[in-house]
Amino acid sequence: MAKNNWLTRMNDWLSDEEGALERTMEAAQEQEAAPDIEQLTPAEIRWAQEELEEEKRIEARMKDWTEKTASPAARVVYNLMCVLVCVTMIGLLLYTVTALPAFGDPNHPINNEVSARYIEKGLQETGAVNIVTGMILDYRAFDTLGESSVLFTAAMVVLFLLRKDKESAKYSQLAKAMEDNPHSDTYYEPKNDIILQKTATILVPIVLLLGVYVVLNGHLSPGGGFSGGAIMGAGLILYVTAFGFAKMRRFFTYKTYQRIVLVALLTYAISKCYSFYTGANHIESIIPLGTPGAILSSGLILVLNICVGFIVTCTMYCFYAVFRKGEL
Amino acid sequence: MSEWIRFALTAAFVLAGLAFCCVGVFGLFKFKYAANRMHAAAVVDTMGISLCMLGFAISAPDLFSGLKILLVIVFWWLSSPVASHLLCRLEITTDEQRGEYMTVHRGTLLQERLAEEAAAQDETGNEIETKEEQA
Amino acid sequence: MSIDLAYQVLLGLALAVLTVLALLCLVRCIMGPRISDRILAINVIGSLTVIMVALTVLLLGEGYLADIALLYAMLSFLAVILLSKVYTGIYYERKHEEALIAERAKAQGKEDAQ
Repeated sequence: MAKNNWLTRMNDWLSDEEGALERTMEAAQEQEAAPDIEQLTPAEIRWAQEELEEEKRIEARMKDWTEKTASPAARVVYNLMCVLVCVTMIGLLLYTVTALPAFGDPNHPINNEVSARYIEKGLQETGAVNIVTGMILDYRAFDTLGESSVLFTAAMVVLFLLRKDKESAKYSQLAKAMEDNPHSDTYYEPKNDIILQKTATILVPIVLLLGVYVVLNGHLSPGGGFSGGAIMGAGLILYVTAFGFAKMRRFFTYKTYQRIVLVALLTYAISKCYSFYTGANHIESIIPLGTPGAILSSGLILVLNICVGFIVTCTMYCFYAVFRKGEL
Repeated sequence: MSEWIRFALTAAFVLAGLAFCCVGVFGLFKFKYAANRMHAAAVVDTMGISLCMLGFAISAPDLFSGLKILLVIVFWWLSSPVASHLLCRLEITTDEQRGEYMTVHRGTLLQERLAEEAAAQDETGNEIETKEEQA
Repeated sequence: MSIDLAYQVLLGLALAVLTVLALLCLVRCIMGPRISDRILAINVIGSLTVIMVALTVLLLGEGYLADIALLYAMLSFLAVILLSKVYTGIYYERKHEEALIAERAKAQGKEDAQ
């Protein structure tokens, strides 16, 4: 079918053809419409009732416990102590802050020969105007690979534990119960809010562009893969909040997530893992460093920034989607 | 001399913006209901932020960062009404005593209708039960 | 009086006032009887923080901090819309569960009567 071709759909969407937005919104509504309250199975009723009873029991127990174990005077003392401990902690921390060396103090302990060397030779050796990026993606690129892998591992573990699919009902009682009762709060939240959608139409491209700007300018100005990736992830979350998961799945699914993260991590690893074999020694790079300040400069740093940006974006969106809905 | 004119403009704008912020935060404590407090918060979101940002943009270190500060105003004016809209929707949905102090146009929210039906069922169920107990 | 000192006095004063206002908003956030009061106070804290971050552009003379102000504005907006949506959903879910209980109680009442 030509209608389902993603190029056709994107063309519709871009050219703002009459009814294109309405059609997709109707499709989203059909897929995510709130369920009818009338049609309930006995299992759902039982499940909901048990949950509510459990909540009430816990509340009653907590109330009993506080009333039986503490006298009114003890509670007053407890509240006073709470305030006292908080105020003391805040005072201690503020006092410690005053004892720190001043901002930009030349006698600060961090101003030693290591940072002097980075500042003097950083630009000439890495080609990055932003010394911080030069440090984390050139001198310590191996360390940053570890950080990206930690993000990837965290996302994987969250997916293992929380992702719902056809198989999970077999192994987990909770997933089975949730399948029996699909009326969670995600089904009831206000959907297809036209005001939010129109605003998101304007804001999401701006936010994504800001993220791309921060990633691509990582070696020229403050920013880089991590912060730019976080901005782009926030843009994706904004899109999902406005348009719903059904519409998001047209271009970002679990498969997309897998491929993007794998390709980004592998690119990073291939371009920097020679340190394993050379004993963390630097190999003479054949890539020219370019003129400092130009966008295509500083060797591999731009590529690595883009990889890190992709990983962070996907991880942020993955966390949000899995915690909110249980699937990507 | 031009430096001092710039400073005077900045000071005027920033102080005016701070005054609006103070009024807004005062309103947060003055009003009684969340829907009323939203009006007070809107003062901070519109006049407070835009006057302060204008003041900062006038004496920004370079042109580009001044323009970026002005972009914050545009962004905030786009996003803040939407946030207030959703917040207001939450307030109107969840406040069960709202009929006592404000009028709401019912029937605009489909989900509200559904919930009201459910609540009506709940009430009738309880009523039947209590009547039977009394009998 | 030099121009730098004048700027420092003005900006320091503004920073102090904004801090006090943010603390007051925090008090409203803790006191707020309803969830929407709390989210509203968080929204106001967000706008005050955006002003503070933009103020540091002048105070430190670093242009890139304006990016952070923009970013903070975006995150604050995202937080408010997400929180309001989530809490609306939770309210409806609770309503639904209560309706279920009532239905079941009704059915049981009928069975007992029979």
